Amino acid sequence: MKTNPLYLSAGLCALSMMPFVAMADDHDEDDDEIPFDEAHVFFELNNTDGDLGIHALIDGEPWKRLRIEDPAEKRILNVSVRSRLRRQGLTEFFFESAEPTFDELPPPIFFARFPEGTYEIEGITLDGDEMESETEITHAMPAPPNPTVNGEPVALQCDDEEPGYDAPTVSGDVVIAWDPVTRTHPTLGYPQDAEGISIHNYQVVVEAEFEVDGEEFASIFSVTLPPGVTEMTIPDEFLEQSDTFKYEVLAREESWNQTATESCFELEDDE
Amino acid sequence: MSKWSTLLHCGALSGLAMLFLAPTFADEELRQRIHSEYRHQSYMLIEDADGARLYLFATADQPSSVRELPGPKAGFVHDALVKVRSDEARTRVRGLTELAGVDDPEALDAALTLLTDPNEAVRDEAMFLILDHPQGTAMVSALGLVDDDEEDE
Repeated sequence: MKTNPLYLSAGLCALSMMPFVAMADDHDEDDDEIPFDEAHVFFELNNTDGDLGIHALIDGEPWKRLRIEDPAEKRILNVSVRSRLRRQGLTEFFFESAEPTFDELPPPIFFARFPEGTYEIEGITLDGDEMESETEITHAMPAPPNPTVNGEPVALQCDDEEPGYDAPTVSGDVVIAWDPVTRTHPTLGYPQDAEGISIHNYQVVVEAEFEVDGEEFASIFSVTLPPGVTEMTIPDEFLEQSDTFKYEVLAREESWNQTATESCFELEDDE
Repeated sequence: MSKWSTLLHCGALSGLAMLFLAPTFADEELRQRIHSEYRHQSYMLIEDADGARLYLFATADQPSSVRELPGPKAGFVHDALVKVRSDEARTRVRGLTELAGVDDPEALDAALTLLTDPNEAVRDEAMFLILDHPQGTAMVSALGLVDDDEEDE
């Protein structure tokens, strides 16, 4: 079956008359915009490597279009779900931007690129309903956590092929602990070294890399902790998988900006 | 009995078996249409998920023949086409969304018709359907449609 050319002609004719078509739009009469369940746009600072990036986490009912606008109402992201995926719709959406080192993108330029203010997240549901949430971006970055592993401070060099490799060797129960983060970053963002930052959560991520059937495998233990918890014992079942580990502790403040400190450790050889 | 008619009779038995084994493919409308058109002839209709084949047995006037008939539409396409004819704009939008990327001429026809819908969301969705339809790309410039996703700001 072919498309009836009459339809095409009718379509062309009607399009030329579109400015005159009454815009009686029962859809637009509905001002109720559906909020997203989660709508966060935030910065992540890797304090160890010295890089910054912008991330977003958005979740809600199935959508086919997603946009983010900056405080000047300029569109900075436009996602259009197409074809068969459009029929299905998307729900959760997470992205991380590139994270060039400070040599390539100094923090003041990065922060100027993404000004503080209200960022608007808009979507369209599969039924054509509008979704909208707002999120505040701030330049307040939490101070970097200062973790220890069994009391040993962070290593300065975790690459065992580089000179100065100084991963601490630990034994027994492995406990990663850190002081509560109560201030903003001393040298980055705004305000700097200010009191009164409110921590939303901490996160501990421990990673071991080893081979399975000749293929590299990364095993990850990750836990999100409430602001009152500042230590975590790593389960033995996880530690049994390797003898060298990398870990990071992240502090997230209430606007979701987060700062990470990375380090590593080795387990003492039992034999 | 000729070799051809033997084959046809074998096919008839297989076809009957399939009719009993696969009632889910039944298209009553098609059966009634075939019955009313060919009730004075010997025929056999075999239906499956891909469509239907009509075997017309030889008569004094004409030799036997086989005709391929368009199959019943996939359930979701049929349901979506019903939705695009709804009085409610929201349902029309949903119907068009459910037809996104579907290689069906009726989906394209529906989108072309709804390009002038009074509701903006319906018009937008109709445009996306045309942009994503395999036969729609040829019409994009003729209709003056702009793919916003490819727009360079």
